[in-house]
Amino acid sequence: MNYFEILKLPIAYDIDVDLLTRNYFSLQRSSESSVDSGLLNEAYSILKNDIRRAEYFLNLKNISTESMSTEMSVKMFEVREKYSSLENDEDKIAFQNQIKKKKKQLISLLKKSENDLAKFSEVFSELKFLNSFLEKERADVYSRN
Amino acid sequence: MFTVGIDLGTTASVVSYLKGGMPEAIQIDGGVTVPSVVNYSEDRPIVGNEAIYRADSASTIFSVKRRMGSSDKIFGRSPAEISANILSYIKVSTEMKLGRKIDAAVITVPAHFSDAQRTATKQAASIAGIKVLRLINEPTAAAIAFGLDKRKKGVFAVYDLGGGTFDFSVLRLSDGIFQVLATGGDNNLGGDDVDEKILEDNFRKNDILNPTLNEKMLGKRIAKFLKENLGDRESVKKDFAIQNRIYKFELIRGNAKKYLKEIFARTFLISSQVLEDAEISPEELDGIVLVGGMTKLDLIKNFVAENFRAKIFDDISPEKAVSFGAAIHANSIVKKDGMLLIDVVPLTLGIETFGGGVDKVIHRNTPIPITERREYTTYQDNQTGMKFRVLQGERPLANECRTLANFELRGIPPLPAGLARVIVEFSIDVNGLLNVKAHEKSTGVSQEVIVEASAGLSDKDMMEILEKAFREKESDQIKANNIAIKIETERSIRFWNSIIKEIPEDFQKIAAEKILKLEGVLSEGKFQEVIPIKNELENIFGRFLDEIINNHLSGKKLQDIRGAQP
Repeated sequence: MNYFEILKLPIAYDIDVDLLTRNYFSLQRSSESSVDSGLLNEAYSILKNDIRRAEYFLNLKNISTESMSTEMSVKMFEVREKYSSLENDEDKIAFQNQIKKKKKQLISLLKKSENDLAKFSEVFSELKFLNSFLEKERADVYSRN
Repeated sequence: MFTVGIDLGTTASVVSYLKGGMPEAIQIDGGVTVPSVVNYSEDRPIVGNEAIYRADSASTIFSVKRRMGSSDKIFGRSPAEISANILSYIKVSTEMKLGRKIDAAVITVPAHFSDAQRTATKQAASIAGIKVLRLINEPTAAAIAFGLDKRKKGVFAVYDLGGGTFDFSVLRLSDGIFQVLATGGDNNLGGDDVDEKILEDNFRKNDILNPTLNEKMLGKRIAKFLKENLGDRESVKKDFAIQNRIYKFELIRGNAKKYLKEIFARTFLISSQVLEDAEISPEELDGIVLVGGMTKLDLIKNFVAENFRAKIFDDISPEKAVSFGAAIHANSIVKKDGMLLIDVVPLTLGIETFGGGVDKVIHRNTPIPITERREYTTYQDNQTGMKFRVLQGERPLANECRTLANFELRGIPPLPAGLARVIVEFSIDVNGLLNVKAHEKSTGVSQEVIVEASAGLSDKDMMEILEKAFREKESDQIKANNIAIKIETERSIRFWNSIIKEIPEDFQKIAAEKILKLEGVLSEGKFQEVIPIKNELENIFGRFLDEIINNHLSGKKLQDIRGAQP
């Protein structure tokens, strides 16, 4: 069974998150012993997350999520360059917010392009990069120097 | 089956149980909070207020929780053993008070406690002879206490700022389901930092360049007192004396505000990140629950109100809320009442990759229990061993994360590079404890890693301590309880006799009579009559204890200090 089946959802990227959570709760409650609670958690945490769900969706379609186009590499390089050229905190935060906004746009774009897997996969690799960029910045909040 | 909830805190601990369906904190030592302080000046460890009273003698440990999970030895003891002494005192006192044996307990830990810290907490409970039903996170426990009788529904944040730690969690509550959406915090942020600053200011004003241990200890208590008693005044003062020197301490509103604002700013930054992780915008919050001693301060409350703009809930005493939630959850586990608690992994767990990066195996805020696998391969021909480093943290580089364990899988069959298939499996149980396993797929060579071995107590140490504890245990429970009552009460009597001259005269007479009566029933073996009298005495002494401790630490008797004041 794949994660969509475990949580009784159709195999699609664009899911009903409320339904996902409702199904998850009712399975967690009813299945104290029958279905492994760890497996439910695994499935739920991946499907709930827009980025991890996209990766899982692509893997289900046998599309690798490791490779990246040259065009994309250049794009990423530019983002990093731009960010490291910023000096004051305000500009950095503004830039981060811009990236966050872009991230949201890409997610809604993903939802619209699940029938065009080539496009889906390209949007995903940009999204994945932007996310890891934000993750790195986020980590700084937790580790004071 | 009798269960309790224990909030094993940095500065103080609280134990609660359910009485007629409602949580109630058990009074120990004249109050519901037991100072988490242990003194080793006698054969048996002394815990709580008396330990503070004796703090100047020798071998006294404050805030051992900050060192949980480390391999530190303090007076030859591990932090887990010292915490065990606190737990053991709580257990014995509770059993004496209620006349019932504790069968099992839920113990709380900060949400962002690492694996080693959780393991050490569990070890402490085993040493103290307490069966742990589950370790749960403090903010989650607070949310349970808060959500219980009100049948609340919606998304709530728990803002928990104590003496030494800060936790922020976002939860969804609905029909008996407590789902943690995200959590985050700082292990080293709290009221103690503010006390330190107030102390520094005042030492400077009093021209103290190299404070002695006594000056530091008493000064810190006074600093804390000032912080807690500022209220809405412009300034608050308190003088004290050590030997013949008078110290004038003062806290002005401007400074208090400045120090608390610094702390708040940091908590707000973390909170905003956690909300983002939970994918909840601040406007979506139905409320924010305040927990931890620091949130009793008006200044902190105001900062929270101004910045979060969500309804503030502070109707459960912030000191008791966590142990209340633990007690409710303990009962719910035993009764299987259908309450569902879904907690999460606080920090990302991963494996170091070739080149010093981190492969994230379990992401933060993943619900627990959880098991995840990764497949790795050899990078050299005929490589027969593979080294792994287990990491915890959000940073992209291995060296910036905390190393939980190192291990090597040996006995991989000699194969061309890239052909061996090594599966590494991370499992986190309901207590948030990590277990790592590795095996090679084609041959089945496998290895299990005990992550906790890198810090805290090894299994061998654990066995020795448990065996020792077991030997010392009486097989006959009632007899054991009576012995505990006798030893505990004799200790209390000794302590009261040593401080009786320091309470007001009219109370001295009443106390002396009661002590005499207590000694009588104790020697006659009327153990059922001991507790009520002991309670009365605890209440009498409890009222003056703080003042007595301060005076004792200043090396002066009460009368002398009164005389010395203008």
